[in-house]
Amino acid sequence: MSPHVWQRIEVWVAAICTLGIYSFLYRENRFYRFFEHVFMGVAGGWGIVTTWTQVLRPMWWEPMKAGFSAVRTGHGDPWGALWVLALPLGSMWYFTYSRRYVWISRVIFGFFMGATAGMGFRAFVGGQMPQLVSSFKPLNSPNNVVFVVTLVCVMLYFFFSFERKNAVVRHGATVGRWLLMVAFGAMFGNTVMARMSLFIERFQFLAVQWLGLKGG
Amino acid sequence: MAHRENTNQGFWQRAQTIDRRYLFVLLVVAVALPSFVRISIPVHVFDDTMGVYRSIEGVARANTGKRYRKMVLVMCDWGPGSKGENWPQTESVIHHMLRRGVPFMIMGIDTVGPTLAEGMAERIAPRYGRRYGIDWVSFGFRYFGDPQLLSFVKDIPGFVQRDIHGTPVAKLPVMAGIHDMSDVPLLIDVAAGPEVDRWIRLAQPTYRFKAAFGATAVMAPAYYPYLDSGQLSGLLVGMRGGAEYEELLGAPGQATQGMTLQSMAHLLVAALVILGNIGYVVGRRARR
Amino acid sequence: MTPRRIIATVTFLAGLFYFLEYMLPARIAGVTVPLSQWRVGLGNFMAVLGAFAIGMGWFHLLRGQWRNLVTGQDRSSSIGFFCALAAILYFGFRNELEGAKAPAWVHMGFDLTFNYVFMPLVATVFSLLAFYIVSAAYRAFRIRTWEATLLMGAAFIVMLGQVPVGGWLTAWVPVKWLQLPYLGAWLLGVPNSAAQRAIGFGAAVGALAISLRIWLNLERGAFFSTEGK
Repeated sequence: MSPHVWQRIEVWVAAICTLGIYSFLYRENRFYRFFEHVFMGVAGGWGIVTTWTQVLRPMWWEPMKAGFSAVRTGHGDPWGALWVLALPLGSMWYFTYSRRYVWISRVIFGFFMGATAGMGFRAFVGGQMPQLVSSFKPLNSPNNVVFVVTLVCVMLYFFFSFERKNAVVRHGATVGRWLLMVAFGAMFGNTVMARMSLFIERFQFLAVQWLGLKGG
Repeated sequence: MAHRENTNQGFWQRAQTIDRRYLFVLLVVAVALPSFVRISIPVHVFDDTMGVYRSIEGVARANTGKRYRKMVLVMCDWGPGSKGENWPQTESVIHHMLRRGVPFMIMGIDTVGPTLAEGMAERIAPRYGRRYGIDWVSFGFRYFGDPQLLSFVKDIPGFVQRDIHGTPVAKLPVMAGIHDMSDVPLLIDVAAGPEVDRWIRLAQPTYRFKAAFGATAVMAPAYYPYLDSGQLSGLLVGMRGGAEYEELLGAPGQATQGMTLQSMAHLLVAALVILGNIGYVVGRRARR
Repeated sequence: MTPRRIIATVTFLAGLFYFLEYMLPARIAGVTVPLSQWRVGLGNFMAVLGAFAIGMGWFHLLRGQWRNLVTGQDRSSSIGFFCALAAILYFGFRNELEGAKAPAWVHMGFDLTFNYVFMPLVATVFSLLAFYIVSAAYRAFRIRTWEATLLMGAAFIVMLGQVPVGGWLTAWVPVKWLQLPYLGAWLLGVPNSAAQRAIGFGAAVGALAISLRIWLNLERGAFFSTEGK
């Protein structure tokens, strides 16, 4: 089979998969459900392939094999054999399916959650300190004034620890709510752009690669 | 007059309950229009995109005449779900670095992004006489939680050990002189999620590298504070970021074409919001 | 030692390592603190442990799909699932493990399954949202209040300012910063940036508080759902 013919077959398969999913826009149907299940199979299977080939095999299996080989032959670094301990430790995840021994899975969950929590201090200082420092802007330009006023008003809006009896605080919080709407509007505008981009990429595939139309 | 007013109100009320499938068809027509009617509108380059461009230019200038060149780390933390936005961004920055001879390494926490980035580099590299292992390298998908990030930045060869082809890091000429993150002056994270946060919070304070973010448009507004504080030196926003970068490189591509279609889609959404609200106001007056 | 104590101890020790590694200097009274040196090995170990979790979820998924296949409920979809799974596992493993040594038909099969089935399916599923945004724009977005007007106004400026047609529509405006691209960039870079920073401060303080509570086992119900009831 010539490469050109194979390429056309591949493009047709991709187009059928795309249109199969888009058939959901007309109404839910068996065609769509079939491709939805194909999607689940391929996505899940690809996760297994990459986890073994990119993580477990080079970082666990190969060093463990080399370690046991060193123990047997006396040549090389035998410490790699200790990687065999990862097997019982890694299998702790699956005790979540046992009612009686579910607490064993909580140990490994706790290990990962504890490690992430311990890094929280570093993350807070590293992420927020520069933000805090750059918030103290000189009020010598309209942009800086707008920035500082917006920052203070929005923070006032989120302070629920005290009653808003003071007029400055009350009005500041109201202005903060308005400025939050401006930020949410910006987020909405960007969300429209993001979603349209995804459809446009699919449309470009169907129009240019499948149907052979030239772009505008 | 009353009959005409009633007819108008009936029209608007009927229009409010139109089957949404007609709206879907309208979107397809709007996006398809540039395929049949030639529409070409120039792309405006924003400062956030220029920041990424200048960062790569800065690394290129700093490497001039140096024996051991500093590298750029390109994290491709995206998959096919954000391909429309992140593909042009990744392709543009890789194109720029290959053109300027800035060495880079590709890695990612998604299984797809690094694979596609490798394909881009393999396709573009021959144009500028660049070669794998000498001008760029790929370490592929890596499981990369916070502890792994801290390990990586402290000892890059010790963490990655081998490239995607199984070649030990010590045998890759491009990795000569690269020990930890202080040898990587620029991180470009092209991601579908908030992955750059971790680099900024956990590693940037210690290793003082510049960070640029190729974000999906939906994530981008949350990262303007980082641009303001200098924690991000540049920001590519969705497909527009890719199109602007293509404009800067003088190499219009998929993203530039896509922005014309995007213009039509945005005009349609704006028109529908206006029409929908007109119908709502007319309907409300009729009910009073 | 009760399971709860074991979990609390492991959680605390895991967090203590990274807390001390950050807080302590590299050398104390001339003695090197080895925590930073152990960071790389611990990170690799955690990467491997995390990878072992790949099987979680597969039990329920495979059981559900097998049940559909055997009982005949939506059998065609389950056949599609198992065929797709078998294809990507076979072609994926052979392509990755054998590399250039694999026969050409293996590379062709992998190319078809990965680039022309997997990628289009994922991309298309995510692109469905564009249609629902169009539907919502016409049927749901109603400007009823002053705040909604502000939100929509900002959305219009940002939405049109970031695409080429926005610059084209307002190219005639003599004041440059009133043209849509510049106005949109200003909206994103100044008021939006400040508001997002304020939100970020609150979220960061909250995240730090939660981290402390999890690390010190103060969070009721973190590991056992019956706690606190």
